[in-house]
Amino acid sequence: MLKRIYLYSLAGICMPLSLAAQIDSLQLQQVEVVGKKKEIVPTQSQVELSGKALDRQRGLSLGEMLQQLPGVTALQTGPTIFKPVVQGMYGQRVLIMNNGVRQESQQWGSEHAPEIDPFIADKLTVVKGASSVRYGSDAIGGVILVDPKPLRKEKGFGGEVNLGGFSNGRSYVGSGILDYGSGKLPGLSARIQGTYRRAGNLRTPDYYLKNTGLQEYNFSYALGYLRRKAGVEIFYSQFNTRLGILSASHIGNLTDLQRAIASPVPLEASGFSYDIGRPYQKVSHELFKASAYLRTANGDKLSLTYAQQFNNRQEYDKHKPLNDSLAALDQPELELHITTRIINLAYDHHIGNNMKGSVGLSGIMQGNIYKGRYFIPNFKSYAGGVFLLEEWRQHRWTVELGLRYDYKWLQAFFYEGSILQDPQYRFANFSGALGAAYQASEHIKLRANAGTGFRPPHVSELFSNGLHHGAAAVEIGDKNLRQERAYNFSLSAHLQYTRWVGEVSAYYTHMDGYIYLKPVFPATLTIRGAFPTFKYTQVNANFAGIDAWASDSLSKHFSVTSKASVIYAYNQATHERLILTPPTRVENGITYNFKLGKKIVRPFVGISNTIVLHKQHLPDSSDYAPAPPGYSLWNAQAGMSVKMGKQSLDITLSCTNALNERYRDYLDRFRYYANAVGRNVGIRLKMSF
Amino acid sequence: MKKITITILTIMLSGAMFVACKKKDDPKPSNPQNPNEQEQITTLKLILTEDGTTNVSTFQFADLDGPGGNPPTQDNIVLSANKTYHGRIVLLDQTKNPVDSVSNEVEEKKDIHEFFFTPAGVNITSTYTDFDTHGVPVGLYPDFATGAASTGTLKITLKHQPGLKPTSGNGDITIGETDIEVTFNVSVL
Repeated sequence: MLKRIYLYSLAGICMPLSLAAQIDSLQLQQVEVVGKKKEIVPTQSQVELSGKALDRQRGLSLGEMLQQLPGVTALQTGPTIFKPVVQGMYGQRVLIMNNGVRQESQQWGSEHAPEIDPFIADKLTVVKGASSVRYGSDAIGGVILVDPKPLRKEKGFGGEVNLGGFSNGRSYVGSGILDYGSGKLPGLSARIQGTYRRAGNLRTPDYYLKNTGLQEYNFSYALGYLRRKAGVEIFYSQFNTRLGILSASHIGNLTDLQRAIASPVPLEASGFSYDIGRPYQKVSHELFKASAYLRTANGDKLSLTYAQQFNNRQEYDKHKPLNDSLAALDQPELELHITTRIINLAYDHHIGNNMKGSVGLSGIMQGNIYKGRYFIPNFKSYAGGVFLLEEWRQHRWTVELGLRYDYKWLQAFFYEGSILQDPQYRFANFSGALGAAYQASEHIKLRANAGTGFRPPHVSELFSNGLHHGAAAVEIGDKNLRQERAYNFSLSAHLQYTRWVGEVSAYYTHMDGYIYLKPVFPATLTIRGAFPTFKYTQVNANFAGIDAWASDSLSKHFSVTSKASVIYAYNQATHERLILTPPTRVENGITYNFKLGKKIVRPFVGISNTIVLHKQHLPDSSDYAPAPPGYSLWNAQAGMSVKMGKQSLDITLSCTNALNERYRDYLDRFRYYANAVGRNVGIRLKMSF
Repeated sequence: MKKITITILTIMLSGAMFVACKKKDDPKPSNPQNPNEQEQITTLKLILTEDGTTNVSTFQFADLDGPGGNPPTQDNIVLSANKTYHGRIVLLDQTKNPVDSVSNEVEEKKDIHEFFFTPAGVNITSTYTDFDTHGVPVGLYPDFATGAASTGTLKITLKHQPGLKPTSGNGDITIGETDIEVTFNVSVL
């Protein structure tokens, strides 16, 4: 049976790490020499968080860290759940590649944050726009690449310890990596890594947020035997979190919601506590990956990857069952368990001196099981894809061309009344990409890219039916939804004049059959009262926007950085704005670098300001409460490296929301209930050895 | 050194095996759980007995398939003017066999539950007759007094207030989670 399944599922959707790793490096905040290797210019717009800029965000969740990047924001459910938004797209449309494997969990839910330990990553890259050819269908909004450091090549032990402590929520985090390279058997190396993170109730400028603590522990290991001609590697990671959900956000019906919105403070007060009570989420994610490669004499590479993932999500309502014997079991009211198996085969090749590319097959099989309250059905699916990607380079030009075909079979299982339903679906289509990069001069790099991809509707969009607790809404799927197709165009210019470096990228995406939750009237009447009702609906939508950043080293001591993102997203037929797209955002910072003796390396102090504008022109009756006003936050940072023998200790002090501003963010669903968190002073220590 | 290497290798491979083999006893996707196994409240019955008589009338709100799907069915309450009625509220889960009386659970946990009766436009007043251990009303057995002929609505709300229900006074409808909110049309003839 298993063998047959694998035959069916020549599927998969991810590319070998090597391709991802070739992506060039754009360093925000600080310009560093990237080394002598010949720079590859990707034709698609992308931004990266790595090195010192990444270190300064350590201790935050993945989605929160990525907000540093221009064009990347986060859909929030309170202060601890951050779901990345890339150029206005999120959820199923933004794929996360965790160490070369597509992250498969319950990513359809806006309150489901990615189950990834950011301490695994050495580099976070966001590829913007339709990236289906490289990374598989679904990735029509963009891709987030979470890449660990390559395994240790040198003999002996090495590693890194990260510690962090933060005033708000009295949170603390510790993470360690231990690397080992064998001397006797060159190429044999291993790594173990672990993280523990804990936070208590977070605080707004005026009050604590009841039950917003979290507890997270993660663990990973890797083992590789990597030689020039061939290699094998295994990787295993485990992510476990228990996340408290603001008590005041679990409400009974529309009347309760209106009461919560009308109240200036949450309807449940609290002091500080590390306790996590109901409602909370308990999520665990396991990834196991085995990969192998063979390299020919001329540098071509054949690689095979197998990965399996288990994701278990338990959501505990505020409310235990009334029945004592049921309540005593203390079971989650909603549990989802998804198992994913992926296999990829890729052949990276060269054709002559100017052309190289990759051709491959990928397969994915999935099974989903729910327990407790019905929200999405059980399903199983098999999908397969085949792709070809070629890149031609000559002089100042790089041209990329890609083509992909994907097929997906899906069967869902659920009860309608007391009758078991088991509808089957088939989706198949092409994705394509064409891009060019041109090095106009030593100062100017131009890139243009056109991509198209499709996304089969997710089971949540097809079959959701029921009350979304916490959201206090009835969500209804549509069994007749068709595939969503994106046509994405982007143009970007990278400019560099002496100490000044910057990039501006403009994009336009036409979405044919964009699926979203549309409010329908009247509200659904239930025994618990009326609930606002939303139905998954398809429209043609357009997204247009500009992301820009620039950095100027004004003098030896001072440097300034600016970032801005603007997006305009609208329904093509009605010209109404799309809801839940990010408001305009501008960030400016100035850093002062100075000298402080021989033992202290590169000390700096800096301040930055983030302005988020009021989201305007939203359609009437599209939301329970109007979009909150814009806000401006001030942050400060200082840091240095202290040399201690062969090792060095990096110390960073940070203060976010330094002026304790009271504000609410449009993309935070908890804006209905409470202000965003106030001042947070943190210290981060990093010791590498 | 070689020993260490082999040990590391063995531990990691066995870990991988452990991961690959576990979770075999999970149910299959093709055999989903019937959502009717979950606890729910489908029906609210208001049973009214006219004071000094044996005249009993029952009015109910029923949503047998839960939220969404088929709309709920609902009776209109018809009462006589200037009378007193002794009420009783019964909550049922009619998806279960035998039918589950959820109101028994409310009675057992009366310290965290309270019914509220909110008339609008109709001449009717309610009086609590049952109280929790702190003397705060529960509302499973309310009395209703009607005035002159009129028509309007009566909203019945059940709040779930674990750790929040006041321990003195008449309770507070604005706190806690709403378990039930049903609005009946009422005619006093």
